[in-house]
Amino acid sequence: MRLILAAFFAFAASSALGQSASDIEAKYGKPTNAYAVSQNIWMTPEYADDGQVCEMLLYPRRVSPNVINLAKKLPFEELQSVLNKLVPVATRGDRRGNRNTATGGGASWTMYSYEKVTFIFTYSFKVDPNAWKQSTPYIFSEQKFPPTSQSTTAYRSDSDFSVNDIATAEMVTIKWNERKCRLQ
Amino acid sequence: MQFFSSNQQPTAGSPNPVSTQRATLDNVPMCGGPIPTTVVVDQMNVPDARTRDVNGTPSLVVGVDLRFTFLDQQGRPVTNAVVGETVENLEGRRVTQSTEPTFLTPEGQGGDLISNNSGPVPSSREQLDRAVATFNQDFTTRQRLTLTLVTDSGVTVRVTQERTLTNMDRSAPTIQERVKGYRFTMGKPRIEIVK
Repeated sequence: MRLILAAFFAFAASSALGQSASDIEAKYGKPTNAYAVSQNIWMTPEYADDGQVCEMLLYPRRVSPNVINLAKKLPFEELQSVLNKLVPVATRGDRRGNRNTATGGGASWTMYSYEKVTFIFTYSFKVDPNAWKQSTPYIFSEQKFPPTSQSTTAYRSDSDFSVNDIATAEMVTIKWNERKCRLQ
Repeated sequence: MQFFSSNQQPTAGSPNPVSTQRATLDNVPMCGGPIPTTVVVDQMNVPDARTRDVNGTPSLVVGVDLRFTFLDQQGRPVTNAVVGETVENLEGRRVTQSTEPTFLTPEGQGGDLISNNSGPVPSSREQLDRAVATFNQDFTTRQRLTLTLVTDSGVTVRVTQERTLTNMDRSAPTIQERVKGYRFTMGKPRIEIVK
């Protein structure tokens, strides 16, 4: 009897302590692909049926050797550089319209659409339930501003995204418009 | 889904909502600790151009403010709950989980801003023109909000609601004759006990 009990406890202990890669994979499935595309940014790709990337998710790299990163936002300069490396300006196609930002549920999505790809900058924010009381109607009036000789121009090709959008992004999604991602 | 006219312009600072939707759980025992059994969603204003603080930046938006109020079995404000928030953009974007759980106010309330945000308040004529052009682009955001309330006694209540803000409805009145009219619609919320 003692022998049976000892064998049972030995088996239970080995099950509980089993932490090999195959044990973990058996329990949680295959690991998520994440590439360190810069010192502080991770990128997870998804693919279309033809093997081409259809979507990339960029998010803060939480751990690297000897560093734990608790920052919510993507680092400004790294992000700008990574975006230009992953999807060079020349490969995006023509810009389609102005940037477009929707808010709701404490989240904000800013979209930049091009002929071939779409960039979506996302961040979260808190909404004070009484903030609406402080919001003021905005009157559209040119007289607020002195005339300027500058015309409304397209964004420069090397700084396609507004500084504010890059500086506040907690996550960036890049989608290839013509590629449909495989179902996960 | 109900439609609310953009013509209903409340006076500035008016505490009266433009429209209200509510949902109440049935057959909840009156005894025991307070449980959120009723959610009231107030639309506080009609779609209009406003300056709002968004993430610490004074921003120019066209949109509406919502106020959520949670009441218990006795009709009293719920204050003993932590609220988690996710929002799903029904145009195919992923579910977005707001980063941190939030607490309700002493009145049992939380807020939301559904808007087209043009960015920081314009400081030049060029920026103003760009903001107007942004507001006049075709815009529709359809969202499904899920609020998960966990009370201090461990009861979990889930509230879901769909809402849409669009400038594709030609019957919506234009804003100051510069910006296309925006229409906001919100569905009846659904409330359920999860645990």
